[in-house]
Amino acid sequence: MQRKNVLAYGYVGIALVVFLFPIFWVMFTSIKTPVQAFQIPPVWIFKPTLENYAIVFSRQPFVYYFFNSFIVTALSTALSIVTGTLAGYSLARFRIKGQKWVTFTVFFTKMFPPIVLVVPFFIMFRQVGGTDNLWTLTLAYTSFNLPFVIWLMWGFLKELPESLEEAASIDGTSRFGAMWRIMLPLAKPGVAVAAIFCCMNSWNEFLFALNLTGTHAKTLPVMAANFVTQEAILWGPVTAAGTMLMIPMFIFTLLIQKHLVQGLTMGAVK
Amino acid sequence: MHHDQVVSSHYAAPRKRSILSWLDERIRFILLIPAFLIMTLVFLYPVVYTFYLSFHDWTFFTLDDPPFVGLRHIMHVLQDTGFYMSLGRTAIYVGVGVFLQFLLGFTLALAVNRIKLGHGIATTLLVLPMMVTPVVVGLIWKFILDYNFGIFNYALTLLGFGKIAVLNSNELALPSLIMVDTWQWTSFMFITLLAGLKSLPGEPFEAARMDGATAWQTLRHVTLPLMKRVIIVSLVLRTAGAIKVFDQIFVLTGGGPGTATETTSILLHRKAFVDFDFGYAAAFAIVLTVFVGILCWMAIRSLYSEK
Repeated sequence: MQRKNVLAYGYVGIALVVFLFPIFWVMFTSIKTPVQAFQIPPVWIFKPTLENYAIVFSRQPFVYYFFNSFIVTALSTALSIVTGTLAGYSLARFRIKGQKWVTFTVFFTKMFPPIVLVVPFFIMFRQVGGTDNLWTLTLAYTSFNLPFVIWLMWGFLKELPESLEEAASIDGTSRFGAMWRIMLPLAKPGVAVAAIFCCMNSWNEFLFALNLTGTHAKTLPVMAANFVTQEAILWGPVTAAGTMLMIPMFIFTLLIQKHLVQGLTMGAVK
Repeated sequence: MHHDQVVSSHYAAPRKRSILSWLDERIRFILLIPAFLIMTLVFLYPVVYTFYLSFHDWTFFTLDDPPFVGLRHIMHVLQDTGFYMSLGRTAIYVGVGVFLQFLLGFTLALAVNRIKLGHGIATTLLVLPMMVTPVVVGLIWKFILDYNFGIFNYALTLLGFGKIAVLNSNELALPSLIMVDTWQWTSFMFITLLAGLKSLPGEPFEAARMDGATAWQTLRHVTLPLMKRVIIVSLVLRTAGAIKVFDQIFVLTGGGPGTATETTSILLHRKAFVDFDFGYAAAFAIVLTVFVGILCWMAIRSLYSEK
């Protein structure tokens, strides 16, 4: 028994090192000077500096791209949460014929490779004069956020007892009132999980942003990728940009911790 | 739901049938309308539109008046060895990657489930790779594997080996991408399977211990059967994620060297946005969609047969 625990601790320890070292290494390099970032053998002892961060801010309109990312994330999350929660409620509360087909549809949209949508989006948006535009990018992000919210809220609301609404309708409350005043307040935890996942997915999104934006609506991941696809890569600023992209994600992780699995598996595993 | 009808007919009579109550009775459909409209706009229409695109010859010069070519593009895709090569690479990437992630994630979940001290903090830290922005994952590993400035090659020289340009090697590029994917997504398998392990009932394990089952027998005959549903869900979702992969590969190798790491997403992207052959890309997308649809149908069946 004792020996097995030692083995378990050893395994977890190794996993921790392998999992965390790359993240640590990038953050660690980001606070070196741009010259030290290139040095091999690596410098381990140095005076921390924010020079790399200063370069990111001065060479690229970082704040501008940050706001682009922020706006698209917020808009798409809001749109998906509002419409998706209502649809999820409808699916959960009323028996609709062919529910298995609805499941298939939502499931299919989850599995669907977004690359397939990029080409039609590109031409559609071009036809309405909406390329390189935050509004159309928001719509594009909603294509993966909305099915996720519907699926998650459907699963979440199905679990809430129907007797609550029955009691309300016996009291003469309308169905809308029962939903609005009784069910939705109870659904808040589910909505929070769905919203944080939408934020994470939008914040991380790269494929749509890469192909549907130019200089105007560019988001942070595209900016970060531009740093490394050049010939001579400035590793110092790259690590700084990477760190700044990671930090919000880690904050989200702490917020969502208890509901992580629920969100990841869209309610299929509790 | 019979009670819906009962309640509504009961209350419709005394209440004045205003437009509001008419709407209220149809709320189930009304609530679906906004989501349905948006899904039509951002999903259904683009997919249908892709069919239309694939029947025309869209290049950069014919964007405004593309000539009709019928099924030519789709036939091209089906005869293109490059297409099948990219499918093969994606299959290797997904198959090997998801298998490794499952193996490592499951063993890690078993290990973490066993330990008491530091259980919570270990769980939190072990999910971090999954939370890193995929583009940043690409960037992290590009830095680590860099030929001149990367710590990987530095470690190799310390150990007395020669340096390797991992990402520029025909043989090593795809395996290293699989390794990066495994680094990021073992977390996912770990956390979902750990949640599964924690939700298992205690009695079967008690019974197994009473019967003097070895650890391996318990795992094989008690844990695995009880975990079947969770395992299927995790495998299906991870497969769905791996099939879509684009960001890390785009940053790390861009499909190269040559076409050594050109998965379906990367190839489709190149056809559309480097070669500007939208018609071909659309046809490619249709074939891919049908493919994913079949996979998805199989996944749904395996999920539903569990219930």
